[in-house]
Amino acid sequence: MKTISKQLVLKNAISEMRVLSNTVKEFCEENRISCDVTHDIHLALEEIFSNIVFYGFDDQDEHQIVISFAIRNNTLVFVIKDDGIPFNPLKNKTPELEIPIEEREIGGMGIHIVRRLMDEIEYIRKQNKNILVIKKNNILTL
Amino acid sequence: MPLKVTSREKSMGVFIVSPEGSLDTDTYLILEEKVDVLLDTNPGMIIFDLEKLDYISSMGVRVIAKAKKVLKKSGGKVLLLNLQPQIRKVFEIIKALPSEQLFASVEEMDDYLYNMQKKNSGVWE
Repeated sequence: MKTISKQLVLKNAISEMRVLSNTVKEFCEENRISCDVTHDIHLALEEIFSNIVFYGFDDQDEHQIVISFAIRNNTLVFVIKDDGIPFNPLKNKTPELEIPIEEREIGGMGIHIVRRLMDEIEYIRKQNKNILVIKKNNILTL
Repeated sequence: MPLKVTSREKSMGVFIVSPEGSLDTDTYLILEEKVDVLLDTNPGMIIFDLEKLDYISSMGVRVIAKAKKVLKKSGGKVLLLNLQPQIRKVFEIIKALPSEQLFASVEEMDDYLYNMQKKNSGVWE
């Protein structure tokens, strides 16, 4: 069974979003992933990446955020690793969606979006790193 | 993708803001700056025409939500126009879709505005 994979090392800076964006698009194109699914993956990764950049570190230092993509058995698995403060985004309570958007804090929206777009999300804290494993099934249509 | 924002005054105190491209964590400040300038003029309404918006993330929704919050305080309104399917999807996921203020076309919106004007003749004078 063929495994297709790629790894990306980014700095903890929003300007790195461009690199992330281009990598996702290239990867999806190379693997003939549909536009809809590419959009969902891109958005999920953006929400996670920006969350880590904004909230993941309690210093002004440069850190690395490592993202790896792999397609195995028609499932896309991506793993996001950072060495920031212990933070499990899944522990956040679901945002109060019944309150009008303008009254809510935006904080929880990102993870909620990821949960809705992706099929599985798992968090592990290991060797002082936050590790998020995300899966999207039925990735290849052709 | 970069973000380009144009805006025009449709009628007294009613502005149409048209973001073009991608409204994400890297570009949202461009829209926020333009919207802040408009909010300072105390508009009655801001219409976001999203026809040329290809992508939005939660930071982008936040800018639009902030405009809605500010305008709500002064009795103004935010309308959304021409949402592409992937944009609508994001608003739906975070339940930020204002069902009564979404329009599929400029004609539909103009009808709505015309009827509003008839009902609230004091507001538009």
